[in-house]
Amino acid sequence: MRIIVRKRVAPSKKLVIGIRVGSILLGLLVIAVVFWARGLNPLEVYYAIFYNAFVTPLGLAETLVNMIPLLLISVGLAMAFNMKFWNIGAEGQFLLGAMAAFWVAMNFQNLPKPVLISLILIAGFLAGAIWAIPPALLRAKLNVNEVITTLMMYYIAYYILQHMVHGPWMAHEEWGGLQWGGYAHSAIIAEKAWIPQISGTRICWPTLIVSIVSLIAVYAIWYKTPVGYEMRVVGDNPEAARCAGISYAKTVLVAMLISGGLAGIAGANELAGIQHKLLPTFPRGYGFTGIITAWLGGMSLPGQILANFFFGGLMAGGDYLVIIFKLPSFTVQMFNGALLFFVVMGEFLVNYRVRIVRR
Amino acid sequence: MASESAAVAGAARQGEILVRMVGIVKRFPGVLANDHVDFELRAGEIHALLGENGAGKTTLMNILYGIYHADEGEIYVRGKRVEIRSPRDAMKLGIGMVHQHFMLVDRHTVAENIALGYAKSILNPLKEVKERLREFAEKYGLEVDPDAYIWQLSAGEQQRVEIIKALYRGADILILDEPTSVLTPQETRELFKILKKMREEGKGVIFITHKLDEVFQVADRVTVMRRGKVVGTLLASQTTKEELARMMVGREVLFRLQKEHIERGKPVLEVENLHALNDRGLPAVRGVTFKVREGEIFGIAGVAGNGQRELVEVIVGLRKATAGRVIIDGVDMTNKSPREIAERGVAHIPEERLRHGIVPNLSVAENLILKDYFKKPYRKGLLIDYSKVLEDADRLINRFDIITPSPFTPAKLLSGGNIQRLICARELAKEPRLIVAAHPTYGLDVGATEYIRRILLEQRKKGVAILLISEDLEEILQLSDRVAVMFNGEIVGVVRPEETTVEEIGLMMAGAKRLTSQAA
Repeated sequence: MRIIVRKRVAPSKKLVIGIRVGSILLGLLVIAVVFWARGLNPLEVYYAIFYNAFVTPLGLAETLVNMIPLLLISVGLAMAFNMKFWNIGAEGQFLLGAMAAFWVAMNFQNLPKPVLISLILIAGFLAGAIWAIPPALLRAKLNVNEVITTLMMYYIAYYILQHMVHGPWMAHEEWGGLQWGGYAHSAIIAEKAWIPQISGTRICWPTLIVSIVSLIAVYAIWYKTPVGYEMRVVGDNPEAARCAGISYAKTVLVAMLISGGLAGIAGANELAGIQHKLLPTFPRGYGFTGIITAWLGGMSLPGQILANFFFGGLMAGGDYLVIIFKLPSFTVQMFNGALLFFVVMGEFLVNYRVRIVRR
Repeated sequence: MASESAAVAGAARQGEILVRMVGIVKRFPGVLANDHVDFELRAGEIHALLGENGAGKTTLMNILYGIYHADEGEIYVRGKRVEIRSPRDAMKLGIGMVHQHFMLVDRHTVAENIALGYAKSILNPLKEVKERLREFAEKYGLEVDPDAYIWQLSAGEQQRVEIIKALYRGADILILDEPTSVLTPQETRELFKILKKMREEGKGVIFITHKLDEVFQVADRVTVMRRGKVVGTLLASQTTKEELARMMVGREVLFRLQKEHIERGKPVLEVENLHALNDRGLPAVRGVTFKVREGEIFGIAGVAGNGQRELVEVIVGLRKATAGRVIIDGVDMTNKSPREIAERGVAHIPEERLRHGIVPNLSVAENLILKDYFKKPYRKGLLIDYSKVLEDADRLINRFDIITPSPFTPAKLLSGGNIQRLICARELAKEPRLIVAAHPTYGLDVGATEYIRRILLEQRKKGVAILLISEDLEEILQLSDRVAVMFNGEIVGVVRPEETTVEEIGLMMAGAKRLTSQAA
């Protein structure tokens, strides 16, 4: 018995999709073992997840709620990934966006609502974009590995959040003529700054529109514009790009501004649309789940929609696990981790053909 | 291990059939690389495997060496049917291969590289290796310093180390893939001497090449391949260059391209006392001065690694000059960006066409606009006008005979010759003033080579100035109006092709001769 590994010249689309779907199924199978080990019937658990994510109207709505930030993050990441720029720090860009949105919401309350909401989203975009600049520049100018810098930038963002909610932004309430503090969360932003939701759901329709527009815009940029052309050239062959006079620094910077900015909008949406205040536990892992969906969806419109719908559903269904089966809330993250693991391993099979032969 | 196969090697008689490959078929996606190929190698012969690039020579030998596995067909070694599934299997059968790109560890010594994995003694393998190295030096003239580091060696010496590596493992069947492409004429002659000694020892040598002259210099028999099939196997003594070329290409080939007399115009490229560093920060270009005029092909010959690459990179803006000037059409363009230089009418046919010339996953059409995508007529407002892009792509594909299924095909799926045509189409379509062509026909088959050379001569006729860098002396002498030889970062002489000999240029390439009076 021996194993022969050969590089595939041009893997077919069917094969790629097949391997990715297969990887996800395999991942689900492995997680099933964990449920089983906890004394649960995995089939029952999966049924609950999928039923509550994709069948009930309420579940579908929650799936869409999750899909909005996921899509925003995932399209931007897909663009960066296709340039071979591994932005792992979308979660940090997301947090900066949320904090900027909070600041705007607290300080510009007297603006008319549509202006205020637009300003919140713009602030989210700018903050996320700014947070993405240092890794892009460090990579372009000093060749510093962006996996490390983007990840570290996430930690910085995370601890800035912790600092703000435990310090300057900690809410103080007045009871009985006394100032009370000590609850680690911010004040709730004024209702005027809340992003409107479709009634009966938590779907924020303005950001739903923004996310769909962003999706289309990113594809238009990627496939139709000179700067998108530059990104594709840089991603495929940076040396040829240099010979053709394309600036790596400029191209990576543009991609990261867009990628970070979209993650920032997702953060602003989470703050002004869903949670309305900052908490130590504010981050929900969209930035990390977005890595999987970006990888799975790639630069394909249906791919992006499908991947984000599926994972949005997993996140929504996962929430039910916590309630119904009394599983720890980290279960959802274990889910994502295991699935990413399998998807990335599956990528090997996309690029290489493995055969086992008997001699 | 080495001992068994060495014993077998000793048993090989002159004339015994060492290798027989029967009906070999190998398919790659969309390509039939080997189509029922038969091949035979005898002990005591040098067998040339001749064919254009993409003819399937290297594929066939990779199958024999176990890198690929044939889809159909049988292999017999010394009359025994064998399955070769990996290079390890091949080595056990006494088959060794020297690849086009050497597989040596730069920072280790010669002896360490050879000991790596093959030495029998565990405690002091280097002692054993050195002893056997002396043996090889005596027997075959394979002289090399065991304690030298690989990075200190010339390409010719590194190749010798590769050959020794193969012999060390007990190879009596040696495959050499285009071994002369990195050598000076003198080094080539040395190599041929070594091969002839190996022939006398009863070893079988397979010599992959696309250079016809080499067949007559060294081979006993020659097998010609074309498009994955064997056209025929002949005795080298009973054939002619013309016949082989016809077999290789499938039609008559012109060996002498017509070079008309062109009146040289004003200088387009002026390089003045140029200095530049290589990637390691050491001086690579050391005070180079020359001019290329309108309607002139200025050739630069030299062994790889003598500053030609750095010189080209400085001219096209990919490397900074540390001193000196590059003037294009009277304007100082020293250390300007690649785009500024290209916009002045400088076309660049890069040395490594896959690495620098194309974007493999982008389509042919998109590759054709690599240097023009940002300006008219391809730019329309914020977008790229893809209908215009496609229209021009169709035109260029026709004009430059690029063989591609469609303009949407990813460039990586084209053959080497067609990739070079694509690059030429992109670079030459916009009427350049200066063409910087680095090894434009390297690795191309006879047909594509002829085509590229004709294009360069056409451009010369139009009054374009051409700087041609090539290691192929025949090419340089055939195309150039003047030839400069670079050695160790300097131009050691400028000659006219009609007033020099290959010998003289070879000596200059090796640094053994320097001309003080330079041709104007």
